[in-house]
Amino acid sequence: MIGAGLALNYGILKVLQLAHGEYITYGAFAAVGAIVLFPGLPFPIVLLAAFIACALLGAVAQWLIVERAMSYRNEVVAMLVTFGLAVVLRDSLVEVVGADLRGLSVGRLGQANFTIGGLTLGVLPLLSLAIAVASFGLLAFLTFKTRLGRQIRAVSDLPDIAALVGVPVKRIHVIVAALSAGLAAIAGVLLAMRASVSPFSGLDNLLIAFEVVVLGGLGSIRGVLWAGLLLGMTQVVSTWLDSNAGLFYVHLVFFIMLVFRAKTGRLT
Amino acid sequence: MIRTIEIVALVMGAIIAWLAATYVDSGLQFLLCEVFLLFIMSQMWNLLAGYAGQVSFGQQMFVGLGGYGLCLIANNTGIPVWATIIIVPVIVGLLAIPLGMVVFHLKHAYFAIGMWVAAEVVFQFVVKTPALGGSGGMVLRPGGEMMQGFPEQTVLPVALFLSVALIVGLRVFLRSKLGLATLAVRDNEAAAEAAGVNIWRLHMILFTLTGAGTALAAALYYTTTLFVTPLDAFQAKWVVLMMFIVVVGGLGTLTGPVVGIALFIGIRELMTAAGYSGGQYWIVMGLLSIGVLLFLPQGLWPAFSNYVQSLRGKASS
Repeated sequence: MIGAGLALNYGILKVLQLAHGEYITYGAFAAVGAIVLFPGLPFPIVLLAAFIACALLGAVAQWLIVERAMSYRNEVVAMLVTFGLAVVLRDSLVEVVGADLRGLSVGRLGQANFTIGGLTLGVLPLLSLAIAVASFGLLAFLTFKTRLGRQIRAVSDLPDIAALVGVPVKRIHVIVAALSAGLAAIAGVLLAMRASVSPFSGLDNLLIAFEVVVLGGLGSIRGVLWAGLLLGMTQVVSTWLDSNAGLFYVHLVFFIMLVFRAKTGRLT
Repeated sequence: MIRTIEIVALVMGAIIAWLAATYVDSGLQFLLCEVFLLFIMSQMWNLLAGYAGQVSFGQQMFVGLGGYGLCLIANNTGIPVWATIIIVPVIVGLLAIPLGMVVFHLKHAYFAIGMWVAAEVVFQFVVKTPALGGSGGMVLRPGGEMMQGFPEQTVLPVALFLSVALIVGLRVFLRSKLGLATLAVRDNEAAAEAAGVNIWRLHMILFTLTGAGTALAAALYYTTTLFVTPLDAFQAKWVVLMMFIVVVGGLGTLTGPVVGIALFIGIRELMTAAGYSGGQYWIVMGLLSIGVLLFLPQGLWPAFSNYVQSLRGKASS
C-alpha cells in the first residue's frame, strides 16, 4: 500500500518522488487533525479528507516545483528537488505540530476480532487489507478502463507523441502526482491506525516504499502488491524468530533479492 | 604533473593549518573541524556523483563505519588513536570493494536506493549487536583510558591541510590518464567504453577511494566528539548534507562544494546566533536547494563563473 502511489508516480512521471514518505506522514497527521477538530466524524470521511488534502498538496507541489525541474530532462535534478521538498515538508510539520508521536484512536475496533474455523482474525488488519485491495482495484479500473487512464498510459509510454495527439501532458502529470500523494495519505492513515506516527517517520516509510516498488517492478501495480506481501511476511516471520529484529531482515531480504535480480539480468 | 601554483597552495595550506592549530580558540576550532571534515565528505560525494555519475544515498554507511572502526580498534588494541585514524580508511576501503562488486550490478536510481538499503542493513546490524554498544553507541577510550587533551587542536590542522591537499590532489588526478578517463565516462559512457576505458574498474577505484575518504573524515570527526552512536553515525543527515552542499555549490566542479559549505555553515551559524531552531534552518536549506535547482540547475559556482566569462567576452569584443 505504501508503495502503490510511488509506483504510479515513478512509472508515469519517471521521477523518483523522494517526498513520498512525507506525504504518508502528512496523510496520517491530516487524519489525526481531522479527528481532533471534529471528534464525531465517521471514518470514511476522515479517510477521504486525508486523501483530498494530500492530493491537493501533491498537485500543487507538482505544478509549482517538480514540473519545472522535470523540464531539464535530468533525473538527478528532479530527484534532488523532490528531496529538498521532503526536507521542507518534514521540518514544517515538526515546527507546527511538534515532534511528538501521534496515534489514531480507533476505539474498540483495535481489539475487535472474530473466529472462523479456529482462526482468530482481527477486524482492523482485515479492514486495512480491504481498503488496500479496494484502492488497488479502483486504481486498476482508472488506468485500464477510462479515458483518463488511456491518456495516463499514453503519457507514460511516449510523452512526446502523446502531446502531439493532443493529450494535455502537464495536466496529466499533475493528476498523477495528486493521485499518488492521495494514495500515500491513505497508507498513512492505515499506518496511524495500527501504530503511532511521528513527523520523522517519513524517511523510513520512503525507504520501505522504495523497496516495495523496486521489488515489484517499477511502474507495475500488481507486482507492488506481491512485493508488499513478501516484505510484510518477512517482517512478521523475523519478528517471531528474533524479537529485536527490527527492519534488519526486511532490508537484507530486499538487498539480496535486488542483487540477485540484477545479476540474472531481469532488472528492467 | 604537479604545477608550481599547486605546490604553493600546499605550502600555504600547511602554514595556515599550523597557525590555526596555534592561535584559534577551542570553540572555533571545533566548528572549523566540522566545516573541513564535512567539506572532505562532500567532495567525496561529489567525486562519486559528479564525476563518476553514481548518485549514492548510502554514504552515511562509510561515516558510520569510520566512526565505529575508530572506536573498535582504538579501544580494543594498543594502537594509538592517530595511527588508528590512518588504518580505518584502509579497512573501510577494502570493505568497499566487495560491496562495490555487489552494488555495481545496479544502475542509476537502483544504485542510489541499493546503497541506501545497504547502509540501513549495516545500521540495523550495529543496533542489534551488543558488542558494538547496541543503540547506545560507544565511547572512545583508547586502550581503556579516557582521551587526554584537546583532540580538535590536532584534528583541525590535519583536516584543513587535507582539504587543501584534496583539491590539489583532485586537480592533479583529473589531468592524469585515469582522471581523463573519468571525465570521458562522465560525458559519454558509451563513447568512453568504445575508446577502451574499463568503466567497471574505474568506478570501482573511485568507489573505494571515496568510501575510504569518507571514513577518514568520519574517524577524524569522531575523534573530536569522543563518542559514536548508531543513530548519529548512520543517519541520513550526512548524505543529505553532502548532497545539498555539492548540488547547491555545483555538481561536478571542484570549487562548487567550497561555495556550498561556506553557504550552509554560514547560514546555520547566523540562524543559530539569531535564535532560530534547527527545524527552521532545514526549511531554509530545503527552500534554498529547490530554488537553486530550479533556476540554476548546475549550481551556484558554474552559473557564477559563466556569468564572469560572459562579462569578459563583452569587455574584449
